[in-house]
Amino acid sequence: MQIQKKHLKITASKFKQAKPYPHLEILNFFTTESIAKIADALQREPFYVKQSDLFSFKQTADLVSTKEPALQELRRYLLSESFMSYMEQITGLKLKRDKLDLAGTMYEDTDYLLCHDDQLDKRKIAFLIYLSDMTPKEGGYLNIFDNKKGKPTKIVKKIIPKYNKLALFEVSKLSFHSVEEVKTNRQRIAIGGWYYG
Amino acid sequence: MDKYTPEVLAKAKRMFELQKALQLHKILDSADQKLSFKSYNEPLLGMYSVAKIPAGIQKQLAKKIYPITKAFFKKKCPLFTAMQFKKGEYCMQLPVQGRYHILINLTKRWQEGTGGEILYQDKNGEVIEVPDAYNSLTIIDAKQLRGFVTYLNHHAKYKKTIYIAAL
Repeated sequence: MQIQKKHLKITASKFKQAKPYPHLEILNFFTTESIAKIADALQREPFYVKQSDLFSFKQTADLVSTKEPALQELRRYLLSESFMSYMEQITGLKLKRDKLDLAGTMYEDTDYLLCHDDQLDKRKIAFLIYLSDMTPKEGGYLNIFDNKKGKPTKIVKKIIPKYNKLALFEVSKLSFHSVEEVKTNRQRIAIGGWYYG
Repeated sequence: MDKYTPEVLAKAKRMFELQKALQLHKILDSADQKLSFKSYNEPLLGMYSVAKIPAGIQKQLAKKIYPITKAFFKKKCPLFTAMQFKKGEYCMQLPVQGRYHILINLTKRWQEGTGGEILYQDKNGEVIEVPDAYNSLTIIDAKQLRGFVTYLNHHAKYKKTIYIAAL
């Protein structure tokens, strides 16, 4: 498992300066071979329907229990000292070692995730590795909300899913975001999770 | 409401006490009202439109519903607020305070599978759904329940309109 070498030089400044809260997106994050292995392996994972008042989508079990070698390798890689140091380098945040939530998500026509902040336990960084492309008309983008007096107000940025894009943001009481309803028969697939502080 | 005789109301009250919810149909003679809706936009709580219901209509509603609130709760008919939902909208917590919720559904055309269900959830996650029926009145004992309206997806062609009040 490997990321593109050109991304190794990224510093925390872009992440820290992003408004309305620290976030970052990196295109073509993994090497072509690595991302292909991840996408291929995830197709064989079972997805389960997740529904509540807040969301409707499909999700795998936590990939800690996957039998897929490529996904086991991805998890080991994301937890490796070198990668966690890299995440600290590009975010400026101190992360807890050996702790990671990781699962595949699939959004199909009419699936959505309403506005929330992701705060739970000591989640520090939320991240997504997109494994499919969506156009703005098809929905599925990650909406970033501005805030006022601690409450979300309006959407100020839309992160469009793109194959092999990494998107991440700092989890805080102001990290309000949502996933726009998918309005197409194509699937929005990603692997994502949280690092802890 | 003339058809709801004291005997019918007494029977309905017994059913309500047993089931904690009751739905009555063909409630209003004329259910088509033009109201002036304003957007409510609090992403964590909901996105929908609300309208004040004019005094004249409130009076009509009270005339129709008072026999029920009197028989069930020995109380006057409360004031109603109108809520309207279109695709992309939802409500995480119905904006009324009081143990007994009274809902009048004024959605003429509704499509299955497009969201917009009115649900009540208890602390264990158990959910009951308010059956969708035009011109119906639903009374719910909402003690320790959270009422909400699910997200209306992009296939929803029509708006959902309800009048809501609580006692």
